Amino acid sequence: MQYFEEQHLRLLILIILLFFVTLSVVAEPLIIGHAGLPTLDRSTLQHIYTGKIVELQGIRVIPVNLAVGHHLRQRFLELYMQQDENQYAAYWIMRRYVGKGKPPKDLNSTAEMQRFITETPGAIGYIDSNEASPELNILLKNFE
Amino acid sequence: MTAYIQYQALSLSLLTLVLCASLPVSADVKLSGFGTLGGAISDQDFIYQRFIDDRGTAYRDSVIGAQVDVTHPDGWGFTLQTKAAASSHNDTDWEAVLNWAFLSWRPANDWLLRAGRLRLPLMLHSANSDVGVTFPFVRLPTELYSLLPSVDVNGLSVTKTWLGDTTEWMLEGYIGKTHADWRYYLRDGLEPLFQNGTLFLAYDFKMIGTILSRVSERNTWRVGIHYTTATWDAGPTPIRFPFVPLMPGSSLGYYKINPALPGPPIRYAKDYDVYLFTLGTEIRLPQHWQLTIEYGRRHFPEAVVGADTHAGYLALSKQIGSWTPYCYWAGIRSDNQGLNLAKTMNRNQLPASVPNAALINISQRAGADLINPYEQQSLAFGTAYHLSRTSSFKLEWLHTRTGALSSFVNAPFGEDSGGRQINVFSLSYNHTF
Repeated sequence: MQYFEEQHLRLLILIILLFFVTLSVVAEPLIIGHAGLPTLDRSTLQHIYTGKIVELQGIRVIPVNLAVGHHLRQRFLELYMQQDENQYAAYWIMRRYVGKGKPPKDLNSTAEMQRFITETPGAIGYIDSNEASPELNILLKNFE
Repeated sequence: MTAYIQYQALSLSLLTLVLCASLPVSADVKLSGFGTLGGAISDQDFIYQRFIDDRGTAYRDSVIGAQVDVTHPDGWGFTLQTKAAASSHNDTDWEAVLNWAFLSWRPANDWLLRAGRLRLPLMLHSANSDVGVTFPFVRLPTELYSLLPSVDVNGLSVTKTWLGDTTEWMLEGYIGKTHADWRYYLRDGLEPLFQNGTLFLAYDFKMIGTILSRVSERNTWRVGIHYTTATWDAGPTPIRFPFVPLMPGSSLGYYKINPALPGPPIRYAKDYDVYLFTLGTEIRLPQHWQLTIEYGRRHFPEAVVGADTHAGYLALSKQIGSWTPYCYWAGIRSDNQGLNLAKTMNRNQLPASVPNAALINISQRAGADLINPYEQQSLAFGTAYHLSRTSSFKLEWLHTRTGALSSFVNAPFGEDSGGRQINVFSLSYNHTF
């Protein structure tokens, strides 16, 4: 009986370990911003990436995206914008051609995005949560 | 015409170059473009909607355009859009025109100011009507999307937004003016004033209006009220044509269309006052269905004209993977006073025994055409097939029936535009980048 309990316990530990290992491998976007930007809620973030909010607490915001096809961009759209690439593109095609602005600039990599955000006042973007470091200004994570 | 297009293109290129050269380094520049290659053919030998007959045409729906958006982190922006399409000054040429060339400023989240050449959002798709990938129909219903000959004005627009978590309210006000041609088709000439055939009368339009919109995830609502004065280049505009009885108390007589004809004077006004009321909604239903309803009222309070109309359409579409099949019903009808006058004038024929009867009879038919009456309904079935998020093919069958008279039809000589049935088959490829 004790043998079976030990087996169950080992199995449970294995499952928990696998769970955390899996979590660390799956790319999860972490919303970051230039120093001084306040933390966000999901609704505000959605309004920023759809061009409806252009300033936060007096600071002009400049959202940036990863290039079309980047896995982290797809995950960002799915998790935070609740849209797929087609819906997001269709929204911006329409908005651009009614004269209400253009979509956020696309950057090629998270390294480029991190550099842009560090150097550009008001910049907002996202990186893989595994790349998080203490000096980053984290604005939103898992809809906190 | 080629020289005109070259002049326009050169001016635009120079303007863009000057603006780009004077931009601060921090400004972001984005170039985009759009185009539609569309063909349409009908089963009738007369022309419908300016170009469509049984020989087929690519003029009705084809368009190509480019847009430059420049934005500065401080909230300033500049947008320039130009397109080449069938001319709005004649039925034979293509021309390049400037749709947009405006400066914009977002001083805060809830304010947007724009000044320059703007496209008015009269209807739900007026602002993006040239960009085929932004709506499923082969072409936006002509009955409604022809309220004004041009919705591009030089002016100022101010938009205030109230942004909630799930709902956005926008109130937009604008003021501006433009110069555009109003198209007429005369079966018979009204010499020496007008020759028979297509006629483009130039007007100066001064416009002011306001539009209230409510946008949420599930639906969009828009209501607008607009006031326009249209001043004819050639002078005062006729607003009432007196009936001249041949004998006192007799119904035998004619409407005085030509000032040279005997009878009391034609009533003129310095310009036309035109009120527009627009209402539109897009409702996203479960299972990817969408219902779109739009209505437009064009009212001339002083003048008795056929252009005083009620128009609208109701469309139902459904997204099924890459396909968006749709159907719509659209209709337009002149207000009773204008339509009845046009009908009466159209059938008013004096007997040959009356001196100058032939000349007067021709003037009655020309007068009916100049009043610009509308009475027609259309039913369309079509589909868009989305090749990608930036390109689509579209296919449509449109069936139109005209009532008493319809100015969308170039009636053959000696015949009427009323009582017609027209089938139009259309195919288009739409792209944007």
